[in-house]
Amino acid sequence: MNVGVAHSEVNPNTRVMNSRGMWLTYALGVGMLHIVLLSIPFFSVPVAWTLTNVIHNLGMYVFLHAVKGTPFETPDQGKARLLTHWEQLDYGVQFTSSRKFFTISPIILYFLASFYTKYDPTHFLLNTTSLLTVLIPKLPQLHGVRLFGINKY
Amino acid sequence: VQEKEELIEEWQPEPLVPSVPKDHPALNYNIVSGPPTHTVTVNGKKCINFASFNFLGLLDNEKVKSAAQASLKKYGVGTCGPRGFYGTFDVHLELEERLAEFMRTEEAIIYSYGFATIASAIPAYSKRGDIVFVDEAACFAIQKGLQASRSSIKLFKHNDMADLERLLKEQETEDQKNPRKARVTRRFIVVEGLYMNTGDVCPLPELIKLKYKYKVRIFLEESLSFGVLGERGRGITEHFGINIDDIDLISANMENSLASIGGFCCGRSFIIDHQRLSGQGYCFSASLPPLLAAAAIEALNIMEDNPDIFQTLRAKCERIHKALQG
Repeated sequence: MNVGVAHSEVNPNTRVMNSRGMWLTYALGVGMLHIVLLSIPFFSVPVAWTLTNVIHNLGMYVFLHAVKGTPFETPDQGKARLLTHWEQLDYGVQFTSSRKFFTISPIILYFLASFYTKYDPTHFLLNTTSLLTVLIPKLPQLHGVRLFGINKY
Repeated sequence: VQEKEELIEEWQPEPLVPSVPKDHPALNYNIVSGPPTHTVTVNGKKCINFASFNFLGLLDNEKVKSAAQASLKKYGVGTCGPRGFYGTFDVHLELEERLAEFMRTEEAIIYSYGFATIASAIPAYSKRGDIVFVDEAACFAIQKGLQASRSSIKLFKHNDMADLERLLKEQETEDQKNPRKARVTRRFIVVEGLYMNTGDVCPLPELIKLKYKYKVRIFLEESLSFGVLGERGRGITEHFGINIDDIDLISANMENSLASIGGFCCGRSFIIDHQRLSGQGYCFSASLPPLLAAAAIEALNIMEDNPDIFQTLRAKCERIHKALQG
């Protein structure tokens, strides 16, 4: 759905990532984050890239895989109350274009970060663990899975 | 093959409509002429009307009728819209204020259909994963509301507080096993003041004790007890002398004692306000016709001005009860 459009969508969270301008805004947001980090004189270019990668993945984890339910009341009696935003996307249909976009974008960021940090070992470790925290929850096998009961209710 | 042909030849279909005798009850209706009030004229014979919920006799009250007719002349018949889309009239707001004042709560909300009142109120608060403890003898409207809420329903035996306590204790042990789940589960008790199916009164003081002991919210359905129980007809809370703030939501039909159509819910503003957007029967149905709202306001006036009618009603009930017991 787009802004200001009347809709009969039961859970707008499922369609928000397909809205007009969402992907562009997201990419520009990541770019803005990176520019802000680059402007801080204390950070060298590799540090800025690793920080961009880590902060982006942290934000993505929190908003897509940690926070559950919806910030608004849905008319389906709380079907998505225990689901994260990623699990709600497109009503649980896997491999839609939004899901593919949000899986590929941290990978692209990872490649860029690895290149600009010149494959330094510490940076590599940080970037790879950060990428894994954001890639593993996106696997279809982990749909609805809560490891060790964390975040179940 | 030969036998099959023979069987087909022999087969005589039964008639779709079998022949019935001329005095079958379905063919001889009892015809009612005139309005059904205290007495109803059936087949030309005047009978006492025991078949209505018009407890206070306000259905054929002249003041109520003239208020309704004046409203009809002023507003017409229907409101042509839900409350959110040009369907809110001043009579609706006045009736809500009057009901909140009468029941001594903060706010009230009007529904245009009595059945839809409790059937919309329950799913507005109770969702999937929540737990509702209901009496077995709950009326059909409550059952539909519970079905729409998609919550887990736990039935306890009719008016049996020991059974309810047992269920609550079981739920408590479950909660202790999984406190994180318990923190996101809402628990409700739904009871009626005067049960439509059995005619009993629910033991409200014990329910309040259980409510505070096990931290459950109470939804009280007062369709039959509003205008019947209590010193001034305020229902079962007045009957037992319980503070109205102890009940989280009171829901009632205006189709019984109040001689109108529709229903209302009353309680704290914080609770009732939620139904203005989440009550499906409120948002997505046309609002109460203004003539019925005016009739309800007039009926409330009569109830407030003549508090002795409730004593009369109770005296008559006890007399008939004793007489029928033989």
